Amino acid sequence: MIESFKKVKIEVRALNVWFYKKHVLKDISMRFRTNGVTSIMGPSGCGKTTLIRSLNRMNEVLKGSRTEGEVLVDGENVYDSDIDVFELRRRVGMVFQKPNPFPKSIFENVAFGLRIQGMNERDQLEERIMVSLRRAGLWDEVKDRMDESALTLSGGQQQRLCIARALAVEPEVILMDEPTSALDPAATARIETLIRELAKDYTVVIVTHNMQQAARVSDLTAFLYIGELIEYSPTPDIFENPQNVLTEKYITGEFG
Amino acid sequence: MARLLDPGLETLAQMFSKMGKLARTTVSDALSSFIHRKHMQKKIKANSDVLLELGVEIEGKAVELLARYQPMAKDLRLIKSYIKISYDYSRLGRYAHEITVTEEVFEEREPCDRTFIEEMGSKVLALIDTSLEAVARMDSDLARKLSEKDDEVDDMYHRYLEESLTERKYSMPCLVGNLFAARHLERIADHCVYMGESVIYAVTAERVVLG
Amino acid sequence: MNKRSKETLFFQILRLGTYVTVSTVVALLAYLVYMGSDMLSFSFVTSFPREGMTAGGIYPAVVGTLYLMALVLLLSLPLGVAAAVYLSEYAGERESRLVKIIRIATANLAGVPSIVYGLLGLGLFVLFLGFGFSLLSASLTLSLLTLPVIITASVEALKTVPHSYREAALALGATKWQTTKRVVFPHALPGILTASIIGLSRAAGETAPIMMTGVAYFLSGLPQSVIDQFMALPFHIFALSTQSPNPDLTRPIQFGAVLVLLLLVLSMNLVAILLRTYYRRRLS
Repeated sequence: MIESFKKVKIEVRALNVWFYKKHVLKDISMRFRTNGVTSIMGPSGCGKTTLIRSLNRMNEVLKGSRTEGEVLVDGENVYDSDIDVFELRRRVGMVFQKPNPFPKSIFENVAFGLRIQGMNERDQLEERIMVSLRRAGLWDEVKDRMDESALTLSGGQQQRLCIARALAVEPEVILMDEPTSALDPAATARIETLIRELAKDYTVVIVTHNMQQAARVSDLTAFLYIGELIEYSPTPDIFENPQNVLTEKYITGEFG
Repeated sequence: MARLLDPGLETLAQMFSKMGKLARTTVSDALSSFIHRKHMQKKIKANSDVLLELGVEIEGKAVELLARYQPMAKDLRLIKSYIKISYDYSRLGRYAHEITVTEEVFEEREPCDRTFIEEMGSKVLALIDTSLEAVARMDSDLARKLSEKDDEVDDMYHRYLEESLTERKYSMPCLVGNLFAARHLERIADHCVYMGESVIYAVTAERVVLG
Repeated sequence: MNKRSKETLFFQILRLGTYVTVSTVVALLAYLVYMGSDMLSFSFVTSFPREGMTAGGIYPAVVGTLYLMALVLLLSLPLGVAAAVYLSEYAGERESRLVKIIRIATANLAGVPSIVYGLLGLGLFVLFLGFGFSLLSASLTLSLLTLPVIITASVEALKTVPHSYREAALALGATKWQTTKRVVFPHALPGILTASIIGLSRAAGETAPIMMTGVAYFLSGLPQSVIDQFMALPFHIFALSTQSPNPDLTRPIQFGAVLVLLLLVLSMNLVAILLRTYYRRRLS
């Protein structure tokens, strides 16, 4: 397992999560490096989505969740009672599996995060929105139709819009829950390239059930199985020579 | 659970086993031809060409498997080793051919003592057999033993080199012919060791240099 | 009988059923129009009844109904929508017993016969709270009647907002209120508006509750405040049919009044449809 990083952005300590009676995450401890891409892979139901949702306290939105343990972002435990969870979610942004733009215009979608912070000046908004859309690689395609509904965009464009929306509030971490599983191969490739770009300036954590994607896109890969962290190594190592038998079995396709 | 990759691996293993056996017989035939003046150059050349073709086929199949199935971990290492070892097999064929060329070039009517080549040859054939076994069973322990055996072959080669400098029993063509043949055998032995290294990599992911 | 014939048979039966229903309604409407269209005129709607309601117009009844609708709208819409938002967005967390009971009660109240509401209104507003027979008592009663309808339909409308929108908003750091206000509510608005207007148009036609809380047979003037009594179209029609001194003279006025009420209800529904279409188009 990886012990030393130059810089640690997020540290998870003895994290346990239950949904009603089900023990979904069992005693997870791991560190996420600042910048770069870390992917979390594993078969369905292994808890990978629950794990990243623990990082921005989005599990609380679902009924019946109970969390124990610590998640430290820049050294501060985000589960402390005096933490502003809304500010946390601004710093630790999230992109979902199925693109979910609001039923509003493209402009208003990206502006949403800024407006809820209280920013309402058109000039300021336009500036930030353009930067975000540029970073998400969508600006050229939408600059002439900012007032059209976001729902008129293609699936891949919608997902990039969701990324721009998350970038607008200037997060430090971007969590992605299977960001391309609802997209076609061309759109997927575009977003994977974007992810590598973003990795230079943001800490990106991706959940994927597509091993090849984890192999292509991430610097570090963690393998989760039935709620436990089985192996966590640099990507080339884990795919060329996994240390754990379970990891090997998963990687070579002996179980899905 | 049966995987899409498995039939491909099966095919590759069969092609591989066929190639290994052919490499072995080609070397053995070449040696026999050299020692007993059987003039089998044409046949050996043909075999060597077949080995080259098989090498190309195996590489092609391996690349196909890589492209289609994105194998990982032990599968990936195995396929990479197949590619490398098939090259070693084809080199065996090539050196066997060189031995028969040496036979032709240094031919003469005078008697020539080839016992040394016979001894060295049987050692090398044993080495080939060991490496074929190590490959067939992907046995990394057996593969490690290959380097000792190669050392023995190397020693024999150097001994003969030294002896030849002082020995005046035979004519020039005989001597030089033997030297060349010994050289080819020594290279064959080296390739057997390389095969061993590939086996170790496939099994343990270690990249070693044996000997 | 083979498949094709069975198919055709059922199709014909269903078509027949549809035609029967539609033609009944059409026939009814046609009859009403035939009987009452002569009476329709500007003066009919703007003049007071004269000579024991055997002549003149229906002005006070129209005004009374409009006042009632305005008050019911004011009372039940904000309250109903607020309750719906609470039930849908906030109460979901801890499904306490109380919340469960409220949900079931609301659903059932929508089906309670309107005369029961009338009795409630009489006892609570007219007598106990002392508002007397008035616009106030009547509109409060009708609001109680309309509330469950608005709440149930609004909760449904809010439920159809995809959960993914809420998640997206929350993940950006929005509070629950911001999420509800900026994302959920606007999306559910067409449905809520439609439901409210339809609820309202039903209230426009209610007779029993207003009979017990404040409607009057005849008033020579318009209500000046909420504690005054009032006239209303549904009751006026009833009165004209049953209490008339001269049925032959009042019959045309009856039909005229019925048509006016119908037109009122239809136009409210039309507004609902237009609003719904407008917001639907804006959202897509």
